Amino acid sequence: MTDFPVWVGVLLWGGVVGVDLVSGPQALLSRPLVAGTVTGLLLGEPGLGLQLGVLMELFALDTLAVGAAWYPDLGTATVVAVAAAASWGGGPGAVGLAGAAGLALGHLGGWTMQWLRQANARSIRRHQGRLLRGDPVVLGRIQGAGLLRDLVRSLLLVGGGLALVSVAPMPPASLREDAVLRGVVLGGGLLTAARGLWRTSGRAPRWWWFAVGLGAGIAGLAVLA
Amino acid sequence: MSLFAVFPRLLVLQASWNHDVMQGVGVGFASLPLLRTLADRDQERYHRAVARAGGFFNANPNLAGVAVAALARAECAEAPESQIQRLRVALAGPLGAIGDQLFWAGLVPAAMAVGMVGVGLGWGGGAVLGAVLVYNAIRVVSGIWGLRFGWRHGLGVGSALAASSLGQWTARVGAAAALLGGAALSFAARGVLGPGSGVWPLALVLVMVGLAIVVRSAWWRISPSMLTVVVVLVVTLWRWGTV
Repeated sequence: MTDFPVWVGVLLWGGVVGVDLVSGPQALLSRPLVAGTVTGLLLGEPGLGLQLGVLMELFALDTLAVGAAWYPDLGTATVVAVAAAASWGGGPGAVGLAGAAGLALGHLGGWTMQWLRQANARSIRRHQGRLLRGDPVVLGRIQGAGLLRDLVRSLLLVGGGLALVSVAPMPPASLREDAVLRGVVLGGGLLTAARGLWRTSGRAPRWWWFAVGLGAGIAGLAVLA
Repeated sequence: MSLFAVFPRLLVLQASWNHDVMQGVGVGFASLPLLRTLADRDQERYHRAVARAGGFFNANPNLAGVAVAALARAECAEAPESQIQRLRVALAGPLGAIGDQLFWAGLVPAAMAVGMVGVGLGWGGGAVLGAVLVYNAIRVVSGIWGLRFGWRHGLGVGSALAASSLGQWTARVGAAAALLGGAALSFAARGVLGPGSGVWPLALVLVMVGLAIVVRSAWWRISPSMLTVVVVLVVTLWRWGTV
């Protein structure tokens, strides 16, 4: 890990990313592509941030963060994954290992969202009387407490992840440079994204648009290759 | 105009999201600037309106402004309370379904797909920033439109929604998301492997999309991200053993 102020910057950014997922402002900051890009810039590794951002975004394309559904918190996970890949030297294997670690952390983050929802419900039950009397002040208090709770959740998640990165042993050089590990995570991401896009493109006209886009992308890639 | 005081509150609508009242408290908090005129006229009715506004509600947060404004308009017009409650229940479903299709399954994946295509083409973070700015500009405009729309139609917002072009926009945005998402897969592979990776991105995309088609029915039941973690773990242990 780099300088302490940079570390603090990454932690605070992770807090913002976590809050953006549900509490607000839901301005795409919690999307892995955005979270990874900014984390890469903060760490002075913009290429690494983009690489892991794209990698993790592929998994996020299968996620619909709606209502009461369970979904992983891949934004905060991407922040930690970029930090891990940077501290492991940024080779292709390091990207693969950091991506896998990020996916695991994203699942843990998903469970912390359940804890947050339960804590919010308890807070509302505590203020039930005032809510039923139509006290306008209590609405603001509950909202503020919810935001703060989510910020703490996000900071703990990212802080815990960064702490693990700083104490984890450095993987051997052969693993850090192993392109197969990055290929496995990319393959998993492409499979996941194809599944997600397939699912959301379930109806006939939209499915055809997906097929046209896929064909155009493959043709574009063939030209560039 | 108090509608502009409501918009920032809509941005934190889900700050206290929970399984009991879902977005209810957020909707109540967002409604407060609009209900203030009622407080000047009838304190008792105002408190009943605030209590109602903080009750159970759930819709897409980006379109919830329509409900916030329409319900507040009905409260300020001192419409029958049972009618306001029925409108509240009736709006949640359509605003959730349309909003989820328009934003979560449309604009969000479309914006991220544009970002990934940009990264694959070597445009770097500029493509990501551009996608984020465009998405948020659309969101601000649609949020303010939703508030105005709801305030204008009040109790008649349901039929006004049905007659609006939101359904058409949902279909158009969905098609754009599918098109861009399909194209983004290839460019994402290039963005991760780098421009000098030859035919590898193409081969990986073809194999993985083919695999997604072949195993689609079985694959739905497995968490693909967890499967990826397990495969990485197995490959790591195998490679470590051969060091």
